[in-house]
This record gives sequence, C-alpha cells and structure tokens, in this order.
Amino acid sequence: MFLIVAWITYPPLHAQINVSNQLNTIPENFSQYADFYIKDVTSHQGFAYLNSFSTTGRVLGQWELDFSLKLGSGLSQELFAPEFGENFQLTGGMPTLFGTEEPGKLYFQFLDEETGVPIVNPFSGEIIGFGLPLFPGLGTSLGFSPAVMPVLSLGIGYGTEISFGILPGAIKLVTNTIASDFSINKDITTTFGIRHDVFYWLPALHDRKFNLSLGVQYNFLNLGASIGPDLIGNIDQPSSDKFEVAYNLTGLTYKSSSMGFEAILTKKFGFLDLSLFSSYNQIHYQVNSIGGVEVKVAKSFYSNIASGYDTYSFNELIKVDQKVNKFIFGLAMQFNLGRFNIDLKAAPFSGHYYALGLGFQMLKEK
Amino acid sequence: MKTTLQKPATWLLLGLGLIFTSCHSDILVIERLPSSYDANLFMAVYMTEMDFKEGTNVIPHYYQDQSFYFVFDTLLHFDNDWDYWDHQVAPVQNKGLFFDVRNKEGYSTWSKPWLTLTSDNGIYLHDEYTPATDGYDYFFQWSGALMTPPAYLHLCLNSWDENPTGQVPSKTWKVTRIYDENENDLTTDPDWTNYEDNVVTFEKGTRFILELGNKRSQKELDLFKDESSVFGTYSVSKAGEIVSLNLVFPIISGNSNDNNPSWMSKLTVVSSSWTSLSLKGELAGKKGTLELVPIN
Repeated sequence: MFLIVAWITYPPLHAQINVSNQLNTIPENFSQYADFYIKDVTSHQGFAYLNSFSTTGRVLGQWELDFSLKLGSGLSQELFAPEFGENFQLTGGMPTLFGTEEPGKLYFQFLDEETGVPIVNPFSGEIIGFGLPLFPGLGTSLGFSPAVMPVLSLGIGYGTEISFGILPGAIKLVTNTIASDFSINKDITTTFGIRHDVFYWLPALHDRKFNLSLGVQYNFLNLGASIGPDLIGNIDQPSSDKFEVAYNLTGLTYKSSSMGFEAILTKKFGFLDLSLFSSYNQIHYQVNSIGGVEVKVAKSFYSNIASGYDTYSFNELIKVDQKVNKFIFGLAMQFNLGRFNIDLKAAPFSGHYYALGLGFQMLKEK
Repeated sequence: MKTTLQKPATWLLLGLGLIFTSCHSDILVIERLPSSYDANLFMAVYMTEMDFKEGTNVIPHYYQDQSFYFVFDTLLHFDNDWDYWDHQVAPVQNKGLFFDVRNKEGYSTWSKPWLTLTSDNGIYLHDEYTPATDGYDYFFQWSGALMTPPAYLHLCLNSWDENPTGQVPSKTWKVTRIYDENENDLTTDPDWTNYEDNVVTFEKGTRFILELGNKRSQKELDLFKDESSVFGTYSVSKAGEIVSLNLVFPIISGNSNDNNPSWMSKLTVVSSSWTSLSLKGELAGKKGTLELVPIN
C-alpha cells in the first residue's frame, strides 16, 4: 500500500510480470487438457485394432483365403488428469470425450512472479486473465475405443499368412451427427500383418493340432475434423478492456500408428480353437489443432481506456505427441462351422481389450 | 486406490452391460495433524477458491479416531487412477481442494490453502480399509499444515474462527501513526505525509483495496488520476522469524512488453493482533514504521 508509492518514486526492484513468458504456457497446458479429453480413444484404439486382428494361432494353408469382419474395443482405464501450471485454474467440469457433465472453463491469470499471487485490474479489482471454454462430452457413461475392420487373410504356404484391412470413411459415417459444429472431413484406417506358425516345422506338435503363431501387425489411422464456433462456448473475459481474446480454432488432425508383436498358442478341439495369446504393442499418436487462440493485451493497465494492444498468437494451441506401450495377454476362442468362423478374444487382465470376429473362408484347401 | 475392477462380480457386470453410473459418496480422510492440532481447530474444506473465500458449500466432515473424514456426494478422483466407468465425471480442480484450517493462535493454511491431492507436499495416498465407511476409501496424511503466520488472519478477520457465509470477509485499517527509527513523527515528512489518510481493506484471499485519501503524491495523481481507490493483491510470507507483507500492483506498461514489472512492496510485520498492526518499511532511504488500527 504505502511503499508501493515509494516504488512509484523509486524504480521497482522485485516483482515481474513477463507477459510473453506467461502467455506462452497456454499451448502446453491446453494441449495437456486436449490429450486428457481424447485419451479414452487415443491411448487404446490402436491396441483394440491390433488385438482384434488375429484370434487363433492356426494359420491359413497355402492359397486359402479368408474374409472377416473384426470388431474390437478397448475399455478405458488409467486416465491421468492434467496438472496445470500455476497460471491456470479450472472452474466447473472437465468432461472427457465421453463425459456427461457441463464443460467449465480453464482460466488463465497473470501472476506476480515473485509472490505467485494473481494480479488484479487496479480499477475494477477483477483478476487479470480470461477463461478458455472446454469441449463438451458426448454424454455417454462409458469410455471406450471402438475398432471395426474388414480383413482379408491369405495363406502363402510354409505356415505363413498375410492379412490386410482397410476402412475409409467409417468414422465420418458414424460420428457426423454426434455434435453440432463438429464434422469429420476425412478418416482412413488400415491394418496389415504377417504371421508364421512355428509348429509348422514341428510335425509332432502340429499333427496333434497345436499351433504357435508369431506375428507382427501394424495399424495406421489418419483423421481430420472441422470445429465450428458453436461447439465451443464463449471466452470469459472479465477484464475485457485489458484483453481481447479470440478462438480461431477451426479443426483438428489426429494420426495414430500402432505396431504389435503377438504370439498365439492354440490347441484345436474339434470345431473349437482354444488359444492363449500375448502381445507387445506400441501406439504413437499425434493430435494437432488447426488454428488456436489470439490474445491482445493492453499496453497499459493504468488507463481506463486501453490505448493500444500487443498481440500474441498461438496457432498451435494443441500439439500432442505421445507414445503408449502395453503388454497384453489373454484368451481366445474360434468356433469353426464349415467355412464360417466366429471369434472371441479377451485381454481382461492387462487392460480391457475385447474382440469379436465373423469370418468366411472364401478359398479352402481340399 | 483399490478398485473393485478385479473382482469377478464386476466382470460379470461388465460382460452383461458395460454401462455404469456412479452415485456413491467418497470419503477423504486426513490424519490428525501431529504438531499443530488443537481441540478447537477450525477446519473447513471447499471445492473451489471462491467457496473458500466466501465460506460457502463447505464439504461436510466429522471427526473420529483422531482423524477428519470428509464426505463428498460426487465422485472425485484424488489419485488419478480412474476406472472406465468414472470417465463421465470430472477430476478435481487442478489445485485440489481448498483447506481453511486455523488454530486459536492464529496460524492457518491461508498462504497456500489449496492442496493438490498427490504425493507432493506431504500428502500420501494409502489403500486402506476404512471401518467408518465399511470400504476402501481415499486416505491421506497431511503433514504440511498451519505454516501461515497469524498476521494473515489478523489482516482480514476480527477473531480466529470468524467465518461469515456468502461474503468474502474483510477488514479495514487506517493509519494512526508514522514515525522513524528514533520515534520521530513522520506525518509532516514530504515523503511520508501522503500516507497519513490512506485506508486499506484486506480481503480473505489475496486482494486489497487502497483508499488513497486526499493527500496524494504527484506519482499517485499521474497513475490513479482522480480515482478514490485502487485494487491490488497481497501475500504474507515468513522467512525465519521475519514475517513479510507483500503488496503488488500490476504494471503492464513501459519500454518492453516482454518484461513488464509490477510494483511490489515488501513490508516487515513488526507486530500484529486483532486490533493493531505495525509495519516497517523504507522510503527514500529513510526507515519508517506505520501503525494501523481497524475501523468498522
């Protein structure tokens, strides 16, 4: 109070508010939030695709051809809430993509860098900062990562099988009505893999209907989405004469590539293949925003009418680049009914990954 | 956190429906504070900073077996270890919960009332069975308590357990005496005279309001024009035995917008009580002491 006026007379010595440094923390913190928001999908979807790809250790014979529809799902777990920096405070709810509650706001506020206390507008007493609105949730009760893929598999001889699946536009088809002002522009998912039955070389086991396939699989997903202004609420600007903050976020891109190494040990009992499996998988996903946020800060707070602004643009408001590794193991069953087969696969102990497959053997050895 | 996810019954439910909603209460347990606990300890816990300031929406709690049990109606996620059915709800505020804890001597948590519920800052999570709720709950030990010196409560309250609901408590002080190291009066000193009619109000939290009075320096006139009062923020800190009152005004103007200073004054709290405040500072190379009393 009193000596503040002394600092007016004599140069200030202590406290600093480095506007640029403090504002520059916005993308990092908002990216943490964005990663949290979609992590139910991003950190599991690749595993769901890979896990649903093969459901028995028995590989196709030479020139046998199988067409399957694979359905997989990863149930979300181990979601870590972001730890925002000192300049940020969350008010209200922070739903995930599947969340049900109303989204709140992530408040940015300038802090005095020595004491850590937020500063206020000297004339209005309001915190000098603004609230960025958060994304709404879909309103479901369950967070999960779906995976759908038609797969063609071909036996190429010597106990070896190659598989390939591709599905363009499926996510766009099922998500375009989930929210206003949100649309998928493009999406393509592809998976391919190769595996070999080791017991092919061990007739003693192979003849007793044991199989041990070792395979490698790769999944790639590329998605682009548009976001309109109605999806996101208004920016809260209590000290609006000291700030002009505007979202220019128009879209998101999402790329995910996953690779897995899988071993499946199978024993065939009549029409039933019973298997134990384990796999080591890695997802690498990247999420980037198209556009971001622009902040104009008044050059002086000691004027009731701002006489000018400095502009700070953050066009990469969201930049997420994460890798997730996971070891999965579980049980699988395949029911073989003539040329048809039904597959079930579950990895309940090392995550929550489930798969269902419906297959038809188009070409079969005689 | 111990979850029920591994239990077979849960798997059965999972297989049947996969749809859950959470509607149970959660219990946060805080062990008895080892050194600063007092039988008349004031304790209130809030979900938001505004509730902390206004004393509203206090989380109900009870005391049992030397521990505090806080009951939450909505599901919280203190340890960030979520189950799949939890994803419909939000995590706690990023600053955790706001603890307003005070004792009769005036020590409190006010300098840093928020506790992030992680293993940092002396908060530890345990998987332990809680008899009071017949289940596994979130269990924390809190070792870093009541470090804020009494001056903080003295600035804003009239008694240690004052806690009005629905309004931010505040206290207004006026200057009664200004003197130098030799106890000579400074009210006629040109560098000090304009403080004589200053009145300051400290709010619970970090904001203060300075009423400038009629006596003003030229710099005050340049900055504040004819404003009768201006806002700033403050904090109370302690280094060794020295208690400081730090007062901050924002200044975002000057030659470089990337290095804009705010003004902060660090005053030494010579003494404080519910009815008096003595602050020491230095102005133009001259040390002075300001004595203040509350006004209603």
